[in-house]
Amino acid sequence: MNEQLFLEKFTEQLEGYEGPSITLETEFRSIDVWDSLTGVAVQIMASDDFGAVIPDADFINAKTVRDIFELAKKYKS
Amino acid sequence: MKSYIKAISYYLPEKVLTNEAINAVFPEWSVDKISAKTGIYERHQSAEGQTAGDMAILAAEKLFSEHKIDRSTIDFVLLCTQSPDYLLPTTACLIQHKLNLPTSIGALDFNLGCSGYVYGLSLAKGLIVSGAAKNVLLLTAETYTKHIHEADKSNKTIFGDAASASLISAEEGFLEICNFEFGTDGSGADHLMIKNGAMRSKSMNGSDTLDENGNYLSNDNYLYMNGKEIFNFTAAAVPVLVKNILDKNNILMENVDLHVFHQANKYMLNFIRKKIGIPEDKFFVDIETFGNTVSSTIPIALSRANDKYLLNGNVLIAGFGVGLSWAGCILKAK
Repeated sequence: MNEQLFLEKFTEQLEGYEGPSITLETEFRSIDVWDSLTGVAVQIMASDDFGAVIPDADFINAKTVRDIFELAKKYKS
Repeated sequence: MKSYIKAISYYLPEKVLTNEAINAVFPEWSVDKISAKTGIYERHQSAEGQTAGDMAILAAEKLFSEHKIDRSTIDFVLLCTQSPDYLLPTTACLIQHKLNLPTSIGALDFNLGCSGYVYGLSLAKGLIVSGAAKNVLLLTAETYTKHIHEADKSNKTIFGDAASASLISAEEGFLEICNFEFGTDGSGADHLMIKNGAMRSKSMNGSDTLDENGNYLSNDNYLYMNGKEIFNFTAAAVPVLVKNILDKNNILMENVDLHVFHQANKYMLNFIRKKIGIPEDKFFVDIETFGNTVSSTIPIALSRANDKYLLNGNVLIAGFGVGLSWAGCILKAK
């Protein structure tokens, strides 16, 4: 799974975000535009674009973008 | 035989719930941040004692006066509502009387939410094409704000009350109604539901469920929406719906001049738009001052798009939500 592509797709979900570039180390829950809607959008993105259905129980514990990336790799079908 | 939308009017109740008013009750709730995302800054609320039937009547009276329609030509009334005046009789019968419509007409309610206007168009078209009616008064009216718990800040920020009235006719109008596509999945019924008060669970004995911080989650006497599941459903169902509508009407996406979807919230609409690949300038979003008005969002959007001269060529409409239920069709603008 391509890290750069994942990062691009992740950033696309952050509508209205104008801060510094998002990296895999970004703690996404502290991003000002982050909310539950964005969380659902990221989970749908992981499923649609990377074939990874990430369970809510795992997603809740993710802190950085890398955590989600690792979950996407783990749950890629 | 063809059928047309000849005219649309809508009614919004006077009382407006602003972000400031929501913030005053929920100071910890960053409602402006949420509005930036949902695109909703104001919602209208029906007055105490004002019903969906009352609002549908006001919308119909506006239709008659704004478009100089002779009410004696109406031969069928369809009312889409999930907030009927009574368990029985059907609210459309009361509306026939209050609007002074002929007693020779047919009248019925149908219970659908965000997909309701499209279903109503299909029912009206069926009545016209079969020769059973010539002029159908299609009404949508909803008072969801009366179904929302006082402490349910999430749903309070999204839903508003409204009613719409459309004249669907065999005579030529500004939008020809073309072919439909439908969808239903009752397995998702509990994602958007009011559990108590009807026959399955008649007693209103619900109690508040709170999260670990004491925030309101649900109460079976009131509207419950699992936003995540509704978002998942929409993201999965709507792209397929749009493709099937195009196939049913033998047109390509590039030949659609405007997409008018159920106005759920701006973020979700844009997410679906990008997923399907619809250009922004062919996608109508207008939700800022009235929010999600359930079955009235599409007729309100069509009326406002028409006022802005945006209805040209092929217009694709799509409704989706409670049920789960979805539907769409192509309207050809004259």
